[in-house]
Amino acid sequence: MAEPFELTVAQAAEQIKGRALSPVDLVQSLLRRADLLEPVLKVWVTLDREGALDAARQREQEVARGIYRGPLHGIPVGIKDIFYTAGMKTTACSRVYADFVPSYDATAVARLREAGAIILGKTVTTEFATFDPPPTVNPWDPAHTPGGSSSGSAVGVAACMFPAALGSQTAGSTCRPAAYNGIVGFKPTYGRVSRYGVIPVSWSLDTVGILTRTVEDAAILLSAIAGYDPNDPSASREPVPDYRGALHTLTTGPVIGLVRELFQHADGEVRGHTEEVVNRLVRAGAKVEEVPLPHSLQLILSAHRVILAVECAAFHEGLFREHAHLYSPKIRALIEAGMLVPGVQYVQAQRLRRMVRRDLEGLLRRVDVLLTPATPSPAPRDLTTTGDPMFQIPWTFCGFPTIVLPSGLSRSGLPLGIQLIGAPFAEGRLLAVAHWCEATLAVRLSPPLPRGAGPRP
Amino acid sequence: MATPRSSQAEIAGDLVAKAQALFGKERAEAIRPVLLDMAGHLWQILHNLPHHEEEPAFFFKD
Repeated sequence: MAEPFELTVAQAAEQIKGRALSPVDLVQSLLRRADLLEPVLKVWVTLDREGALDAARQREQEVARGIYRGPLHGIPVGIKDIFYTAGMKTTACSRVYADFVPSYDATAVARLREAGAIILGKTVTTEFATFDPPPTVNPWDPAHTPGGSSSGSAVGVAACMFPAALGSQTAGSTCRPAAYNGIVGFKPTYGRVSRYGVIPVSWSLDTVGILTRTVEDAAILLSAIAGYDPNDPSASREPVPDYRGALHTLTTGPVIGLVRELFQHADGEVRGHTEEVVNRLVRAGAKVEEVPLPHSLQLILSAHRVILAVECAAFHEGLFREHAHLYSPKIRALIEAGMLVPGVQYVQAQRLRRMVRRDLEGLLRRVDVLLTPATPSPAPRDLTTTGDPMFQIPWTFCGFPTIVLPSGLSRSGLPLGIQLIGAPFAEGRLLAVAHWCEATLAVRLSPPLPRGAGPRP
Repeated sequence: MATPRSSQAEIAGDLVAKAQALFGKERAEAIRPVLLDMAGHLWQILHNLPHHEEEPAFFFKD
């Protein structure tokens, strides 16, 4: 029988609903897990032990009174430390925000609380969710990067320190660390989830992300946080369907478009592995067709970088004038470079973006999803980098929803994954195909960590 | 000012000169690799401009 800390969101929810598991016992199990692993993995910026136990007791009392809010009732989650949390420090892992305590919750956090989730604490991000490496350790091998910027959220989910977490993605910051740690990373369509109360990197690129151990859990979290928010000018009024219900709507094998151009940028082992995965999916009933990128990858990467740098510089400009010395080297250089880009060039990049998006959207009318390797290589053995987001950038640039699933291990014992891309606001279809792939591949990865939750007090 | 006729080296030269003026020579030198990288990105954009009627994306409200 699984220990509480090992349960997925859906498994824990079923037990909580049936009163076989108390939210208090679940939180205590996760706190003992943190005691065991946090000194090594460095997942947490703030672990709110008392706040989480208080909330767990409230959720427990509600269940006893017959009040059940849904599948997140009593489920502890980790929150990347760029999301505002009322009364709880939100540092962005920066010395500039070291003492910042917001007075309100980010909309995504507020919606999780309303759904009954318990905010266990704030997870490590790279500084301001950009490129300076985090202190967090890859649980598969500490000599390799855990990825970023949602480093603590990804590692904590992989290490069973919490069953789900919020991250964010401006380039590849949810899906890349998910791949490096062997879990599910999901980035919805831009505008699907409110960005209100999330410290921005780049307003027109930032998307809230979800990290879980199963596709079903990602669907559960998305259902809770998706939807219009008048506080976010980019939030969509597109109706929110039942994403969990959509998981089982696939009646035949999906039509999958292979973006071979990206395969060519992967190392030989990743390329070979992805081909094997595709063959397994085809044997299970998927139909595949080749889909060419209508624009050069380099152009997309260039326009993305210009937009990211300029918007990042615009957000930080005031703070930076006063506190440049408090910024770490990579984000400092990014801001400075962004300040130097001519305004005309920024607008040209945004014009290119619209053109690329329209053309890529056309490709997605021919297939259910696109497929690429999740990353060009397993997590690099280099702690000065968080890895290469090149396979995520085209889709983040266009605002398309993407999901990364674990698909096996490399020869060196590190996780490998595949990435699926859906059409804008077709998250239901994307999750259904991902669920089908997950069931077909039947790969669930667990890093080589102690199995226990630590001693009971 | 970079134009489609500018070479990558000219764009980089512009960025380094602006960095020296804004942040000082020492700092401009420290971030030179980042500026060279950015010059490459700007060159890519300048050489692949969209049709003149194409509007910007920003928040994808279309």
